[in-house]
Amino acid sequence: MTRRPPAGSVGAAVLVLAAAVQAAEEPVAIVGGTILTVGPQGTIEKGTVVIRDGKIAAVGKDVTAPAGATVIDAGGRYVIPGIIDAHSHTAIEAGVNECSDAVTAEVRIADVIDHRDVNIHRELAGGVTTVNVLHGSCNAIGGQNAVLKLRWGKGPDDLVFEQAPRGIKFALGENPKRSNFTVPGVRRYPATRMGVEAVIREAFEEARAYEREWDAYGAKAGSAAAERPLPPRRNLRLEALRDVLDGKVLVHAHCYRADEILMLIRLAEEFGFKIRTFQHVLEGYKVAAEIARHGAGASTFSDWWAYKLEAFDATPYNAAIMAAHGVTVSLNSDSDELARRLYWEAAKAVKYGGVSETEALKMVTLNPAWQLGIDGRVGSIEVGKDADIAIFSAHPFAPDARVEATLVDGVVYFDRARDGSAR
Amino acid sequence: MRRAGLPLALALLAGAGAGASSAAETTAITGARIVTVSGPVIEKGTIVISGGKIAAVGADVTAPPGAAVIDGAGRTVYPGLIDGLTTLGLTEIGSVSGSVDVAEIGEVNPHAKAWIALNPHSALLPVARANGVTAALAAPTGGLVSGQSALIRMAGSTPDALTVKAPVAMHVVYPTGRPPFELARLFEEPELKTFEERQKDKKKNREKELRRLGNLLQEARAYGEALRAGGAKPDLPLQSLAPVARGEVPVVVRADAEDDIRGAVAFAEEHALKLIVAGALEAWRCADLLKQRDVAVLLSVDRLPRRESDRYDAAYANAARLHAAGVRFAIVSDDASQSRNLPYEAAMARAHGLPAEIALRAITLSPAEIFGVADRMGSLAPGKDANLFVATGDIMDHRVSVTHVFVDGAPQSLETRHTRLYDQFKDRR
Amino acid sequence: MRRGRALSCLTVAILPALVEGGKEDLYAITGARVITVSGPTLEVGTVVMRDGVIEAVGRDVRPPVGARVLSGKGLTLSPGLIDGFGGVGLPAPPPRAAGGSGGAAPAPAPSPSNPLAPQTMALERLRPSEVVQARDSGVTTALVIDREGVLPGQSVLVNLGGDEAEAMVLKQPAALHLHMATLRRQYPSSLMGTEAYARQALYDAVRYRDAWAAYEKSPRGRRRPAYDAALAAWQAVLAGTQPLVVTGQRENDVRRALALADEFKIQVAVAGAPQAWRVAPILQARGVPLLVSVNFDPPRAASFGAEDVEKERREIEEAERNPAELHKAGVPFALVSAWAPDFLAGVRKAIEKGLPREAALRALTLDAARALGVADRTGSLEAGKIANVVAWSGDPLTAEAEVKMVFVDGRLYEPEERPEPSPSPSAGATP
Repeated sequence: MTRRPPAGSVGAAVLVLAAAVQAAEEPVAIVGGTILTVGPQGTIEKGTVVIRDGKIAAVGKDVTAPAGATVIDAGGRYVIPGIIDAHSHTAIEAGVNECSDAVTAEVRIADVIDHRDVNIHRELAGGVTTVNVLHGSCNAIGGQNAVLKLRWGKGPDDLVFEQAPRGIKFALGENPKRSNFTVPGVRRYPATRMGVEAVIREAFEEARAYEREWDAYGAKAGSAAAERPLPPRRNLRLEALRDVLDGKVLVHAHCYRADEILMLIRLAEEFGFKIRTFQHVLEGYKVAAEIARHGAGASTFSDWWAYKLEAFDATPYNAAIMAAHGVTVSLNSDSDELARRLYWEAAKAVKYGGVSETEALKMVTLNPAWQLGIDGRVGSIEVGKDADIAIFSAHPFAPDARVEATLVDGVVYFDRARDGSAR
Repeated sequence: MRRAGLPLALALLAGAGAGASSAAETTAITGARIVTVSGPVIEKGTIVISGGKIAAVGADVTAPPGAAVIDGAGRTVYPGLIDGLTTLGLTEIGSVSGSVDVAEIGEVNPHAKAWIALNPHSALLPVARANGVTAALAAPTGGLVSGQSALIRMAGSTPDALTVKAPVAMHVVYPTGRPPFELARLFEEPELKTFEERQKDKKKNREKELRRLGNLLQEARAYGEALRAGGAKPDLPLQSLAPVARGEVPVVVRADAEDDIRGAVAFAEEHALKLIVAGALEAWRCADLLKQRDVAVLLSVDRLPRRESDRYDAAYANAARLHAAGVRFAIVSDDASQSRNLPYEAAMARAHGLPAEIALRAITLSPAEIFGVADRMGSLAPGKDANLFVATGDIMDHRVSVTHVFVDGAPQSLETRHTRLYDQFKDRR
Repeated sequence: MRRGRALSCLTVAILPALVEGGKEDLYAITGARVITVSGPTLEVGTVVMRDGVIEAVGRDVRPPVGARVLSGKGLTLSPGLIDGFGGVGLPAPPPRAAGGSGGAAPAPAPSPSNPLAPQTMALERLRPSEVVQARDSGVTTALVIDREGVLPGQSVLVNLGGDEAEAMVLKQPAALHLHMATLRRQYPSSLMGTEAYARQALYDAVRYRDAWAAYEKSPRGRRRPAYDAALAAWQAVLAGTQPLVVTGQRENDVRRALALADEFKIQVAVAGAPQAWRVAPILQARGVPLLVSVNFDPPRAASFGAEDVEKERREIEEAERNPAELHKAGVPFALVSAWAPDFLAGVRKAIEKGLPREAALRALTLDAARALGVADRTGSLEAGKIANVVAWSGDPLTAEAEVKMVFVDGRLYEPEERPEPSPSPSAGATP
């Protein structure tokens, strides 16, 4: 799908963009706004961001727009890094979960990206530029995630965040043990948290054996071709798990209860890998010290609770407590609806626990970027990073704040004046 | 964390019909910005609470001698928020059926009364209250006729003490014609139908359900007359429906699609019902009709647009369009555990065209008017119940905290399950 | 109606002696409008068929001696229609238990066959008696495969005439099939699961090939590999001698099919594809055989989430315009029934929505034959090609035109309850 903005914009006090489609080659300058860089430059009043070839080329108060640049007037507006949603199920075709087995590490979200999901557009309208699209929580070990940039209008392969590290989804607690629903005629192991651990343990024992098998083959492969045995069976499931063991795949573990968080830390350390993020992690505050020691990040809701028993000890102070213990915390949506207002979810960290506004904003920008291993590219407005930027009508935490425009790689993919309807 | 030191909550005995209030204490909040809702904002004034009521409010009001004084400098005083559609008191943990009393079995349950099943000790009530919600509509859900709602105050240790007004309305779910969602269906062989077949089925089912509802109302009308004449066998459902059929008790119909809203309006007209529409996701598409028929709306804001072709902010801008058309509406959470986020739904409507003061009215005086309790609550005016709260700024600003909450003049503890867990674990190393 | 028996070439020579009149295998239709598809249309022409093969087509062709001459006056002849993807000839699946609205959960209807069995042969379930309805509407060739399942097996391409299934075979097996669908309560139950399943199956098939190749090369001192019917079934696809037909309803199913082709170096075709127009440039560039469904509103499971009736309707309308858009984009394709309840009605809908009638006919004849790899032997009225010919009472594919005669492998079939066309004067006379 290609979009052409209409010649001229409607309404007063709107962003001024070139009437023609913005070409990626032209430099772009966002001028005169209050820039919340989330980086070492902090907040810059009446600053300018210059973008070249999709990257941030300059940021500062005294930066001037280069000649020939497309100028975006951000006077009176706030310019922030594009928001990163570390827990999303947007843009998935025909099934968020492969529910049949308790371990399905071989399935890949990247195979089923629905590039036409209108929620991509709607999330851009909420300032989101990158999403971590995860397998659901049906299984103790689910499938591989896809990190996407919301380049609305491009095909599925072009949405993939190039060079984002691979990731995989684990799930602990009520969902993988099916506490809250039954499938007629089916009783799938596990039904207890004991069994959830056993499933994961067994999967990694098998992955270790698989790795040994392939290492042995590799050793033999050096010998003469005529003697070389047939390679072991390539097992896509165990291969993905082996990659986890080898540290090539970031683990994002859905969890709630403090004891299961500790369980997974212990198990991962026993097998020699790290949990990259605990997701939801609503009791993370109870074991924040352990999470910090392990080095995992935590990606949580601002204030959802009471929908399940394991969510009953949730508290909106979760983020603040974990952050105070040195955990890198992000706030996520797990919802197409909530994803559009993550900037206000971040503001709640100020309300619940007195997190500073800068730290709160980090929870939806630089922190999730780190969690996804992409903080070298995105998460703050710094020279050299991707020009993923959201422009707000007011401070993003203010009650009348609204996204005016969202850029990905320096291209305006959402412009409130131009893009009413996605079609 | 900003949490003001407070005296312990006083036992709250004030209640509708429960006798005279024993909270004779007088409290004055001085030097505060006071948003009365019913009048202009008082940039710096005093509000006096006495005997459970608002005694005085104004720029020139002074604290009476002996009053407990709260320094309101830099603070804003608001009327207590009224959440016009919730399941508060009827549910605790969504997945634990033992704690959930929102939807009875069967399609027709007009005699299911929310005020019978309220749990005054629900952990969810203090949570909502701590962010300024002092009253809420507790309503059953599900089926075709879900039951009757009650307006509750967010303080009280018995269901009676909680109840401000009952019944408020009969709750109905407009039949869309689609079968209800069941998780088990995900794992079953699906019934395969073409689009056209499905539309036909929907129409047939919808018409069947509407006929059923219409017949019920007619029966109820007749039953009501028989009751008055003195010769009627016991029939709880019809007995509950009779006042609805007479137009004495309003009907809240949950409908989101434009066709369903229009259908609800037509149905209400045909049966002479007093109609309130809840959900109302596409109300903006028939705002003029709603205005014409004086149908009030209970609107939640944080929703995805219904159609792919809708503007991305169709649901956010809904309220503004209703306001422009002159439709009466309240903004509601339509939830229980997240009732505390009511001011933020109003904020989203405000960010998309709804004037700020109307956004606030939509969560205070407007629901009070819709439920017929505007004489008692919804704004800061002398004589009204002293339901109010103090905040560190604009309550629609997510960064702002609430420092004091009063229900019927009695100060409320801001301690919740959440603050206790915070205190318990914040320093665990 | 006279139905011929399938006869091998060897017995054809003695047939005239055995059968009355001796005219069974030799027909000439004279004075008809002849749409050849491969060349210009003849306003008045003759088609001669002998022994199941078209012997001659032309304006000035004389019916040979001994031919049964049929008057083509008022008739239009076209190549027999090809339904390149569907269930013609398979018995209808058992009806599902009705679920009702809001009542007890519907009992899951057991699938008649294994949903993950690439070795299943559609030919084994083919019933010649089941093809009559399709043939009566002018279809003379069909690709037959089970609708259910993810790996329903291998299809057979059949001519719709004959008493025994095997006698109908034009190509067996025709293709291996992968439906981008999901199963309930078993793996794969999501689309990503189906994709992973297919990839794993293909890797296993490669290993199977290598294991057997190594064993065949040097069996001594090795344990013999195990036979696996499913893995054996994939070998022709891996070798590139059989296409993998990927059925998909979504635009991205085309991309997924091509991804499989690239990863495993196999030939793919795409079936269904109501959104193919959106990826026309990719289809053009890759030359993927395309079997475009005219089943625009197929039975589907209800969506679980919020309803968007407007979008569903729009998608159906886009599917109806899909063939027209593909044609505009210059992408060749076959039009296929894909289990549409009325194939020709579906074709007419596509025409109504902008596909030129002539293009539709081509998509049902020569382009379909090309997509199925049999254009060298069927799909047009040319001398030497299989005698699959339809005589219409008017312009083919219009609602008014009736099918008067159908020739399959040179045998005449007349649609039921229609009067037999009167034969013209004795053989040898010019029209």
